Amino acid sequence: MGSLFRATAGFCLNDPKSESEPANFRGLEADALLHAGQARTIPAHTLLCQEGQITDRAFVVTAGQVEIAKDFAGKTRALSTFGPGSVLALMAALDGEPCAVSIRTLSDAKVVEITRASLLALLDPDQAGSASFAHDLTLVAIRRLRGATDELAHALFQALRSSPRAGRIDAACLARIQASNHAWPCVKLAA
Amino acid sequence: MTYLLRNTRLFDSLTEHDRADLVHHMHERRYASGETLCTRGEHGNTMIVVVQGTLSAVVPGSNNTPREIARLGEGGVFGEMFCIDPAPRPATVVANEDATVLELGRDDLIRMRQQAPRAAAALVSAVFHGVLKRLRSVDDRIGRDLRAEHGSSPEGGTVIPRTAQADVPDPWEACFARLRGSA
Repeated sequence: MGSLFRATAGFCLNDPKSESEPANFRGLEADALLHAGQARTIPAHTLLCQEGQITDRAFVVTAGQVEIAKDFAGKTRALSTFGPGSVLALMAALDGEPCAVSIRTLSDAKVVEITRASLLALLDPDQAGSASFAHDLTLVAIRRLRGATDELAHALFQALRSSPRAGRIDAACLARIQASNHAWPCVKLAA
Repeated sequence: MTYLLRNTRLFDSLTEHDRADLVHHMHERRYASGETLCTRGEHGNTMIVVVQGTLSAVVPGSNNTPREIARLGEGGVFGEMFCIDPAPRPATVVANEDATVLELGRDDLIRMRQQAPRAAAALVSAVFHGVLKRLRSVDDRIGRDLRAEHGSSPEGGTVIPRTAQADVPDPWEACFARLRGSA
């Protein structure tokens, strides 16, 4: 969201320049996440998570590309693609609610599959290092929540001001916000 | 002072020992009736727990008159995300009456991670689960809007709810109307 928009709208949006640290898993925290799961090689076009279904596992992409897609009136539309370092379906894996998008591999891919139990173990206060891990994870989630709110505000602003379709929000924009809620590019992989 | 944190849902998963560690790292502040705790748009990096009195969170409404969007009483908490990730405050918070609060700043949390790592992990995990719930609420709201528009497609659009259209003095208010109760 550009500065012109901020100035025009007078919003109280989140200024990336004010962010004091990047929202990424690095070093020990990235290692903890990757070692908490099981490495798998997945063939191209394999469904990792189906829209509307419950999953108890999240995925970290370590090689290859994945596609986020959503069903619109019976037709599946691709919304975005994510590569190595992306964490997929983490929200659905942790809260047990259905995934709002479908996630499939576009190419042969390597992923680390992490179960809900393993994720919760990483957050267990009695585990050594959990404070740092929880901090990094929370930072990523906060940035995503603020990003989603900003993007939604932007979509509303456009809908209210746009002509001749004033009063209608771009459905693709809403779907892209959902896609971003379920795929977080947040793990810095070792070179 | 730890009993003051028992009424705060955010701290439900913390043990008594965790709460004692948390209180140890917090600062007590007193505000007179009408005094401002923080101003919308200014950089914020603290979490506030209300010990005594009530606070109001306000945003500019129609004709720039203050509009109350939340009221916090004893045990109420705000800014829990800001002590982890500082950012501009989304609302101005004022004391409705003489009030006492406990405040945890970002530097306090960093110190707590070193001195009381279990309590820090418990607190941050609790904040994480709260953020996840809010994110899910946003996601659900978007999902409902998309489903409500049968036949909606990426090329189409979804109608803004009447409630949001009716009282939309500015775009931020529209966003707030849409997210009311969820974010």
